[in-house]
Amino acid sequence: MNLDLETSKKGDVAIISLRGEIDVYTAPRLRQALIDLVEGGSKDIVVDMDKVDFLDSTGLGVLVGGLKRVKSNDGEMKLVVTQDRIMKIFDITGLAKVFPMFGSLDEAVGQQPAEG
Amino acid sequence: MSELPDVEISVPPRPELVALVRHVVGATARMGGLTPDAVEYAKLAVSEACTNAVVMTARARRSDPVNVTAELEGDRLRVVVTDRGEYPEDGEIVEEVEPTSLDFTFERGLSLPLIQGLVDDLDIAPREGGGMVVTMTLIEDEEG
Repeated sequence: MNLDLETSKKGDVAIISLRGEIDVYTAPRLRQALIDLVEGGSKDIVVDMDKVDFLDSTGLGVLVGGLKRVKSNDGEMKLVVTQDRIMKIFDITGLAKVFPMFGSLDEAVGQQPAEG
Repeated sequence: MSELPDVEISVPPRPELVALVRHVVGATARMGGLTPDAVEYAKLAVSEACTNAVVMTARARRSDPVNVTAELEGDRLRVVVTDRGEYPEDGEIVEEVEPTSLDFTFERGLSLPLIQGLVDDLDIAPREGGGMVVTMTLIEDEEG
């Protein structure tokens, strides 16, 4: 099974667009992409999960790991979640309270901190 | 839900094969007439249990297969995941987690709350001779 991963930039915000399935086999690629972005100097990161067909706890773990990394770098990590099924996974695990969630990429990128 | 024979799949304990297992279980659930949401929840629950089985089998440095059966009975789907993994004490997957805190070790700790939130009945029991037997039942909800 596959996970397509694309990174781009909008202003100062790094965007990771995901398509496919995030599980124990594919999640390490997402982990590496997040590490690469932070180490490459990105502070604020948006992970666009609009086209994610499947997400499990391994994927959640990688996202939380990414959030910790971004926060320790004084940045912000936001998620774009558009599907009820994916949102339910965040709700069940309590992680909906941990991540800033947005219904579209434009919203997520647009709502940066006022300063800067 | 239509009558289908039980489905059984046995795979080597490798991460890339967890997807294969969940798609087989998903297809079984779909053929059995479960709603699209229930199919997705079945896939996620079996994926969690199977991932755990793969990780724990690797920890035991064994190559015994992970066995998964999916049985449709009337309005319910029962999935059983069996492994020969090495589990500390009563099973690490039952550890308590606080997902709202960022300071917990949770990669496997999130798995159990997730399964519990998805299935209608969950039973986790040690397997004779080592390993674990995870039995999950999803009951078809008329409202989906």
